[in-house]
Amino acid sequence: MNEPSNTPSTDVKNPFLHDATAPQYDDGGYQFQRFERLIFTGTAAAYFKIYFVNILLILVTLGIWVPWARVRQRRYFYSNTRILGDGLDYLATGFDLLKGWLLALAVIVTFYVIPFFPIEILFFQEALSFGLVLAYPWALNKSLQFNARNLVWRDVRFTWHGTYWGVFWSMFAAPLLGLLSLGIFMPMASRIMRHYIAEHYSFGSKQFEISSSIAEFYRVGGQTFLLLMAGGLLTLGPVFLVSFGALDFISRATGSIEIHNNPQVISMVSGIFLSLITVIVLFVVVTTYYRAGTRNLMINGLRLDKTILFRSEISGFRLALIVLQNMFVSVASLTLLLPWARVRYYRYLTENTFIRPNSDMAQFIDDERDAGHSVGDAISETAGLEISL
Amino acid sequence: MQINGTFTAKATSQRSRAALLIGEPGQSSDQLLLAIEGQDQVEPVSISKVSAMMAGADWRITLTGRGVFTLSAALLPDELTPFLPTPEKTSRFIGLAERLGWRGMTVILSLIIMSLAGARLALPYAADHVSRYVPQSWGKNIGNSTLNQLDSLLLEPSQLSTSERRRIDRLFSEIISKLPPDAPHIELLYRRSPTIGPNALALAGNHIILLDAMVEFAGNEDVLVGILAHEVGHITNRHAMRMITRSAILAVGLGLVFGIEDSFVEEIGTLGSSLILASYTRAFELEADQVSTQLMQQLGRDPASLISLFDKLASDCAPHCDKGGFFASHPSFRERRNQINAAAKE
Repeated sequence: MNEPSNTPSTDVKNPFLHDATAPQYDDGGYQFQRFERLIFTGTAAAYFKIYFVNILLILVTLGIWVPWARVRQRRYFYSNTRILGDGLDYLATGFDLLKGWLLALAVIVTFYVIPFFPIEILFFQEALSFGLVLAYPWALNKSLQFNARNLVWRDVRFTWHGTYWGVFWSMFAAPLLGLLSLGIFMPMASRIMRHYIAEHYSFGSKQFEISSSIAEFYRVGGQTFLLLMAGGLLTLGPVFLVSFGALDFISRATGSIEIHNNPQVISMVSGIFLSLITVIVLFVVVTTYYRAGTRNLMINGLRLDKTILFRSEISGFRLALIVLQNMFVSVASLTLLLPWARVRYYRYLTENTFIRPNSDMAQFIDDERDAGHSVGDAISETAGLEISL
Repeated sequence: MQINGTFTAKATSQRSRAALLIGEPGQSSDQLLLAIEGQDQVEPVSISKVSAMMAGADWRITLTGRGVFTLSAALLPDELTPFLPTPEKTSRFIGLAERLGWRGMTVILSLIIMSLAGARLALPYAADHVSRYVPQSWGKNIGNSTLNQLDSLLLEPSQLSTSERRRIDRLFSEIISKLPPDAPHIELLYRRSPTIGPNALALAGNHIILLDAMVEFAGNEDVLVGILAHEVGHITNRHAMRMITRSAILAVGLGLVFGIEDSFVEEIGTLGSSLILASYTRAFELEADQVSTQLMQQLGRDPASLISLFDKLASDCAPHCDKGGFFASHPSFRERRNQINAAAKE
């Protein structure tokens, strides 16, 4: 690397001095007080290559490449997400993640290997499991912190300010209570979670704020419930009738009819599978519809620095259709088309999100806080927990 | 040369149009200059870090102490190379691999398939090698824990009479007497099960569980000896521990390869792994049949009695239950018959 020379450079002219007609850069790229769409510039073809190069490297390095693969995957999606013309970027390195992965691996190996040791500690495995459950909020909180500090727009990073008990309540206990109440408190739990996420992120030194009413969340909850009822009556009713008929027929015919060659039985057994698939489809549609609705409420209520607004125009039905098509295509292609599916899903979410900038998008300052460690990130990844703004 | 991009002042969102200048008139050759829109002077800078190559992403060039210069280009201009920090050859190589055309990607996919096939072939040998280093006490613990679970969930005390048990114990001792001196100590346990049906099991802790229904189903002594010798074959060949090691390595491997993606992809991987594991259990069954045939011959018993057992099992189950094949945990009865006949002839 060449060090900057101390030679005076007064002889070299600044080329921009002569370009009087050039607009001030931040003035020309977008219009203030108007919603601008976020753009995703990634393509399935490019991600296809990243995905398969990652798999090959994971195989030949016997798994050591996993943290680097994760970084490249995240970086591809973030850096191709353009906000007001500038891409986000993910700054963590494979080495940063490796430390966390090694510790997470040690925890998991300990968990699985302990029962093999000839030690007689009563309920040791159960205690360890309980300890892991208690560790999840900690891991998720640290993961959000680590990933936020490694996410940058221009040269300002995001920060996550959540706490263990905040994450425990908003992302674990409240949704659990929502489920235990058979969904009656679920909109309230969703609002608690969405508000907690939004209010605990900051961009540089500016904190995000959110306003939404509980009634809006109950409206989305009510719509989802009606969708569940309507979908259930229209699809599950007839399919279940066929399936129960099939089960009854089979139970009567036990042993006396050769099932394998009987077209009537085959068609009825198919009915059982059909009902199973219908339940899965209905579940995906209903949960995706609800998630899209509550996401819209969160993004639409979000504010940064009082005047920067956001908008989300996700259609629950469209998103559900994308999720279902993606599942089908990925399974049918034995995961070969998974990169295409992921890009399609991400593009839909990104390009239906908008930002209304204020007149001073250059004002943000990063307060340079430490990114922390990646242990929580690795554990929450292992546990399949992933939450982001 | 003028490399156009944008400049963002350090730790701010303040962005301006900017250019890196190299070899401009009046500029020394070892100098890298930064020109920012709205400023009178250009200034000398050095590069402390460059982001790794990534499709579609801007290059993020960190200028020491100043901020970030962002450049939209597929590749960095060659003229910038002398000013870059020590190039990371690995990340450049990977960046280039990710830019390969469809022919290159076909090579990558072929390499993946070859690696997976290689791993599939190497797995049994690697796992069996690893299993040799697993302490015997671990196997005992796993076996005891399985036995406790079976006892609490599926099994009940045997209702065989004491004389019947003595008779079977005597047959079992005969089998054990034919094993080499370094063979593990094997314990025969009697149980009954209202749900499992006629069966015998070999556990990792060197226990063989013989169910009452199996004794009844076997009918004669030769068949019973064949069944017990088959289970002994599982234990002397350490099938349970080898299976545990193979499935553990397979699960970790699949988790690493597919775990970085959505969970339902992992499900597909799990389905694939269960097919592989089924092929292992089929191989183990044939191996245990082989041991059984040899032991029966050594004891002067007729290995063909095992074949009569298979015929009886086949006639007792549904017409299409003896397909064996890809999804089955056991080989087909026909395959087992053929193997026993071949082993008996040897």
